[in-house]
Amino acid sequence: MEMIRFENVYKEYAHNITGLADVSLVINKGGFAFLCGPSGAGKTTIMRLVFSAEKPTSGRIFISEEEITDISLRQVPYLRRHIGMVFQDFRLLTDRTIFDNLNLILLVLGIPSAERKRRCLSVLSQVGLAHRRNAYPLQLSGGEQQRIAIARAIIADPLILLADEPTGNLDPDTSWDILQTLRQINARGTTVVVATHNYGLVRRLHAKLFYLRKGRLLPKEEYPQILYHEGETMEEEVVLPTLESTPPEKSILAKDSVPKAINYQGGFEPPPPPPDAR
Amino acid sequence: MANTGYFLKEALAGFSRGKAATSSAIAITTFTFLILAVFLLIAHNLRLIIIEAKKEVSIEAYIYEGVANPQYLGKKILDIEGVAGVEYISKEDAEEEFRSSFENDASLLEVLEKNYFPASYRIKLSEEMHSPQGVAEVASKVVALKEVEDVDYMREWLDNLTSTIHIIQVVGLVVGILLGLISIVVIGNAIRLTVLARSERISIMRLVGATSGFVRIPFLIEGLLVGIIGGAMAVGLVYLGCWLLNREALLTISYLPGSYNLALVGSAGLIGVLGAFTAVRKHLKV
Ligand SMILES: Nc1ncnc2c1ncn2[C@@H]1O[C@H](COP(=O)(O)OP(=O)(O)OP(=O)(O)O)[C@@H](O)[C@H]1O
Ligand SMILES: [Mg+2]
Repeated sequence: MEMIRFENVYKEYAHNITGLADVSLVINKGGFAFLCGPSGAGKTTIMRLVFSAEKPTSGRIFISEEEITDISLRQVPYLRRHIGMVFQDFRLLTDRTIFDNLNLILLVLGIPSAERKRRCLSVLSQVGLAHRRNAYPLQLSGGEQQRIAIARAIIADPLILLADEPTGNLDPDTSWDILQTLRQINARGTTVVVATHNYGLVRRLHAKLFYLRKGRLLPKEEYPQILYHEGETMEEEVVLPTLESTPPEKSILAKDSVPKAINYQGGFEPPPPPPDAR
Repeated sequence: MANTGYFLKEALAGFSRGKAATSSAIAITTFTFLILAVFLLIAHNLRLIIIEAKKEVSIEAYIYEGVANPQYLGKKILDIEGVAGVEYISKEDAEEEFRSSFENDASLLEVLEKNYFPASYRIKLSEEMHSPQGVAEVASKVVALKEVEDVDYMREWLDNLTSTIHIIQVVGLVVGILLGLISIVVIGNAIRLTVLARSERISIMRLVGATSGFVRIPFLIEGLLVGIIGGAMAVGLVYLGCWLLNREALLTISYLPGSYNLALVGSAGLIGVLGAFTAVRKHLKV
């Protein structure tokens, strides 16, 4: 099943600035993909198009095999509930505690309070920061903030996780930890897309690769050698073993469509016991 | 609604966090509504003065000499529609009235050897007959009675009063609408500032999939609170002002009626909500 599909997507900003030019790509469900390329190549632009923060100038975009090219502003929130996003600059609410930052996502989804608390703590321990839940974002180090940003992106169990430069200013060890966390998330069935300059990481993890330059996707033969170990060439995408996740029953743009692991939305009903897989 | 608790908490949090912006929005609301309330107070008191003045409207019906049974005439006048009451003034009463009003003018009184004053009925009108047309209508019915020689009423005074009221009404309406519009703009701007401080929050909430309604509601509650508090303070200040003026006996002022006060606080709240709505809308387009 295809999770993300771009067909001849162009994105032009004002004053003829090219964001993307004729980009076609497919990322399968459960896949793990890197977006690489120099600064200004269009990596962030691709992500912004995926969660409909921008509309393409031309071309078509499909998420979970549904076209989202021209969805209305009204539908955008419902799309975004299926997509977790880790921003280059984190975008945490600095005047709220870590716990409140995470809790907010679940509030948006209308999840009952006891279940919210359980999930917040669970996802915080997953990124190893449960003990900092009452701290404020600026009291955390860059790497810790990054992990909170990841926790927030995955707390609703999204179909897709987009991570923009998730290892931005981090040391190699921390970067590797973050990448491991992303792999674990991927192993649960979430499709993960990572934009990065960190070619060391790209080399260590065999995953699907897209290399952009000036808004264009280069053909595989032209990918720079720095992306590979010496003597290696492009391998086909390695799909990590994933838990089978059920495809959404209804349109991901439907009002009451909830991220896949959450199937009890609607307010006051008691939450079911937590799945053992967690 | 499942999120009511969250919305209220958010609204109150926004309220106490944005101290400077919020308190200046409240202060601005108070100030603009103070002007509006003082204006309404003046209009209200003018109206009361006019109502009092209109109570003075009366018709003097002079009776022919030698009408035998003035009581019977009085009953007939009372039967005319729009007449609220009659007062009989005999020839002697009329002379007495005249004398007392010209007490100091001995020369004038000396000429009065004989009582030339006719007896009359002083006719009070019911409220719906206080217009110039109403008075004229009653007067024509009274003068048609065979016992009545002539009628007299303060036609000019009444006409002046009526056109004065008209001017006051038009000016009042225009000034009132103008003040209302100005307060909408001014309060809207103040609330916009409180929202601007949290545009980052709005965009983050949008990025994580919050619907515009979800983002908006706490701001609307906050706007409502700003409006209601500002409006209530304005109403309270006007009340206090009236009380002080009355106590110091500088002026006798009637307080604004409760319904006016409610309307003022209510419209302040409404302006707060509308201001918040438009302010947030700008930031929701992501
Ligand atoms: N809102 C915008 N308005 C105008 N131009 C934009 C806008 N956003 C991006 N661009 C331009 O589009 C191009 C691609 O930008 P993008 O942010 O996708 O690059 P990137 O690959 O993410 O770079 P980096 O690695 O530095 O984050 C750049 O030339 C950039 O200047
Ligand atoms: Mg970028």
